[in-house]
Amino acid sequence: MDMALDRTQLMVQRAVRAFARETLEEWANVLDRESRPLPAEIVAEMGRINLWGIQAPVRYGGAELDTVSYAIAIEEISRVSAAVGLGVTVHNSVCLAPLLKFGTPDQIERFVPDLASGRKIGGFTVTEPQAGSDAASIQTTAAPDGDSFIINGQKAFVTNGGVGDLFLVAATLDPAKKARGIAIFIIEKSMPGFQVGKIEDMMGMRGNMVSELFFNNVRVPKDNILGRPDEGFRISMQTLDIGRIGIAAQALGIGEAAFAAAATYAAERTQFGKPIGTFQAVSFKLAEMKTRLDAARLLVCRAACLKDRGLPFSTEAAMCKAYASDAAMRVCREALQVFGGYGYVKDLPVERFFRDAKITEIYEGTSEVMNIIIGNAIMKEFGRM
Amino acid sequence: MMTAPYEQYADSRDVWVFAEIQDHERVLEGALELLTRGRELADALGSRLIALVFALDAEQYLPAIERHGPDAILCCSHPALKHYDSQIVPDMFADLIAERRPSIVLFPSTEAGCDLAPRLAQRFATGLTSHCTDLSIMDHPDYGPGLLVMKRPAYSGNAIATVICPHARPQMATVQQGVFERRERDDVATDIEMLPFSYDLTKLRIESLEAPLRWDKPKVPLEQAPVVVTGGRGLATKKNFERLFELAELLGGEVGATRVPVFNRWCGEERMIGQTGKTIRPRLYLGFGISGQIQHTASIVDSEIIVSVNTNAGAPIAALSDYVVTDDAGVFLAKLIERLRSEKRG
Amino acid sequence: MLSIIVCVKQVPDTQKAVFDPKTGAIDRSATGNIMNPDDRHALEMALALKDAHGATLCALTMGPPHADEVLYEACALGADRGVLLSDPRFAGADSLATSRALARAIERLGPFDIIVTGREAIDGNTGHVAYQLSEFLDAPLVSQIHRIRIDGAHAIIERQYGHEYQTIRCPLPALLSVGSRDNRVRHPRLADIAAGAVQPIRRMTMDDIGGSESDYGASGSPTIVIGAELFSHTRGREALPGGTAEKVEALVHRLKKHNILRY
Repeated sequence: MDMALDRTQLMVQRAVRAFARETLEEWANVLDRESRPLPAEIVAEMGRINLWGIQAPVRYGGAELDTVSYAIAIEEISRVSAAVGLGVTVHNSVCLAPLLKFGTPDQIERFVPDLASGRKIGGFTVTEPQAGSDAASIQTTAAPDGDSFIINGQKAFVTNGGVGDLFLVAATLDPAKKARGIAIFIIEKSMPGFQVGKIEDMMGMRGNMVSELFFNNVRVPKDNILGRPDEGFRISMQTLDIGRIGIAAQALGIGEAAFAAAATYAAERTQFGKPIGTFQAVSFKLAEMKTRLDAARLLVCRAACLKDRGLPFSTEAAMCKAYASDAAMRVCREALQVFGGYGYVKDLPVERFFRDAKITEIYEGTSEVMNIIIGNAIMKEFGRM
Repeated sequence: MMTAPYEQYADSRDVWVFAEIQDHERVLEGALELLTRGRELADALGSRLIALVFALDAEQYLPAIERHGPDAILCCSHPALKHYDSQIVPDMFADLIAERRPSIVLFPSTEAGCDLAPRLAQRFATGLTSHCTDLSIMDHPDYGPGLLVMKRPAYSGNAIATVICPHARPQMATVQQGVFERRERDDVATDIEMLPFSYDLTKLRIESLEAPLRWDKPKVPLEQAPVVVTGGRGLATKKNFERLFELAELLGGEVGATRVPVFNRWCGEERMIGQTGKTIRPRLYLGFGISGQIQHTASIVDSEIIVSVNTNAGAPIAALSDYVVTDDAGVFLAKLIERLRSEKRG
Repeated sequence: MLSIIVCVKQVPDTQKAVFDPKTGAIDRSATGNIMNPDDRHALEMALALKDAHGATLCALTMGPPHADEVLYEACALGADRGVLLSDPRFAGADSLATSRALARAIERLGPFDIIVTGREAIDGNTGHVAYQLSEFLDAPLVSQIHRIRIDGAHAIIERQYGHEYQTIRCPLPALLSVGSRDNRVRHPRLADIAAGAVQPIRRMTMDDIGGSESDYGASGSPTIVIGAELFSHTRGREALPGGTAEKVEALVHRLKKHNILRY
């Protein structure tokens, strides 16, 4: 594994950082306060610079970058606005990526160009009110009807739900078959019976229109099944492996933002005649924060490198996601502490970082589920001995 | 077009100043300041100070120039000189330098000065130091006596470089307006030499297609406001920040901001002062709740008077303030507005 | 089709610079490098001309070997090729020696219809190079451009000059000097970054542009920097005494003394 970024990766970092600072920064607080999505012209500009198709092939309007560049882009966006970072990572890694990986040539031709250019925004949904970590227990049903399936049910906490045009939706063909009865359907907003429910009023990530989705006799052509009908659960799990690298990169971005704010403040704020960063009580915090973030970055980079080389990366993705989200949460907590009372008021963005960070320990698999994946891998390895 | 460098310059002594005319109505203030400083440099060298003026109806400007102490004025008056032209003036100026070999030539750091000076420096293969903030004369142990020492900001105002031009002549500098004082004097007799205008106007390459329009900006830009009241993070709320507009009105000024208020959308980006925003040099800068990061302070240091209001007496901005108020910025702001209103009423 | 060359410079990011407090010199090892901000606007002007009229666009820089970074960046934004003018004999150049080397390289690479430069660089802040290129190349220079279009062998330009708004016609080849207020720069497409990052860069040395060592670098530079110091802005810092009301009084008194308040 190469520890230094190559020229393309460095240039991607610089370009996305500049874009985020110059275009997204002024919106970050507004999206959070007003719980509203980005203006359409910025979504379109993000499309022009390929942020909606970071790894999609150039011929479909994407940038065809490697996963390390992808993680860098997500980190840089999330450093400025985690909510925008969330929208981008979900669109790219759990909607576009599985379409490209499991889609038929026809499905790719039909759906990828609009998604990769950002003309359409995508999402992915398994979770239901009664089915979270136990993904195999979903109750949304798909009933065959001629050349179509009729979808009925409800999805919860759907990222990009309020703004998305196309969703990969898990539904069961036969609840008795549990995991093997689940299929993934490509469902478009324009299909009759598709309905966006309430937009969640969340603690953080308020700039993403996370919502409920309702499917009321939605007729979906057979051609819109992603992969084989019995493959849905496996596709979901592989998709989430990819998604976790993005969520880890996002957590890293939030942590970096909080760390940079705290370090700047510590260098500038004086108490007892000295900058507070010169007191060990503060400088030790900063040292630990930085070390944790760098360790998280290495884990993210390793998982991304393994994926780019076509090697198994499921356990490594779980490890980087669990570690980076934990690092982000700790760093935000300590950063807020460095700011003292100023950190607790909404004039400064630290409290937003704190609120945004928490969800990274929950979505696309909780930290506990990550430990199950890692633990299973350990038992598999040592059990064989 | 290259003119040969001076072959020897022991005999070149005079100090020249480009007496630029502003808006074809007055001698530029910065040119008069430069004449004042040029007089001192010429006296230190025991040489003459020469002013050069190229203008339409140039005679009208001679009295103002004379009062600032040149030994001579070289003056050319012609309708083609109504505006600075980047072909005519450099050509005429270069001929005069080649013929009369000044030791030092000084220009105001204006649009015209910044066009003319580098062109002349190229033609004589000599050095030019721009946007100087100080000029003096020194004898250097290695490079010889009577050298012009030029100080100029570098790295966006974070450092000051000291520059000399020992081996080529003339030594040339452009100087920011307002760094020298302007003084009139009546102890120097001024010769006036009128120069003929013989420029072949068919040589001009750039052609004007329409009569130029007078261009007036809608309001006073931040950079030109005489008073700038600026708010930072320490104002804590948008409500406090908005009171700055009341104070600005009372003081006849404008409102500026650091990064945090802009970030928090208390005001638009056009009000941001700092390295990614604007650089200001008002008569009075009043900073409320600003700690003073270098990105901001580098852009306000040329203000005539700096007052900072901050709860933290040790904040970096205090070091560069003329007056330091240690108090809650919002509270002090409210009281100051109240006080000025009562004064206006009474 | 137009042939355009744009001069760009790699500079230390002075916004994040670390300075030696004694000498004022920049600690280059601790400071990131960027494309000079005005040069981004120059490149944008060139790209807009390319979009409107079609053009081949060459980006030229002079600097140490790693200055090629700004050329890759220029290629990512839409330049067709990059040329790095790099030679230890160019080191220590002032603006005159820089302009001379650039002018000779432009003559070797040309002919060009349009040469675009940034107004000034944030490390040197001299703003000389455009004017001196205009002299070396004997081509007219236009700055403060508001609108531009190409009409045969001329550029028709609307620009603000002093207090006036002018429309002028300028013969090509011409130099355009562009500053941060003249346009809004675009962000590169990630797909173009991937392509630009692997673009071959042409490297030129003194041997490619001619002249002798005494023309370039420190020996070709008439100015010598004999000192540098970190700028100290320290002032009187008189603390105004008393409670809030007294402090307000004291401030009002001083503003009157300075003739800022006149009631």
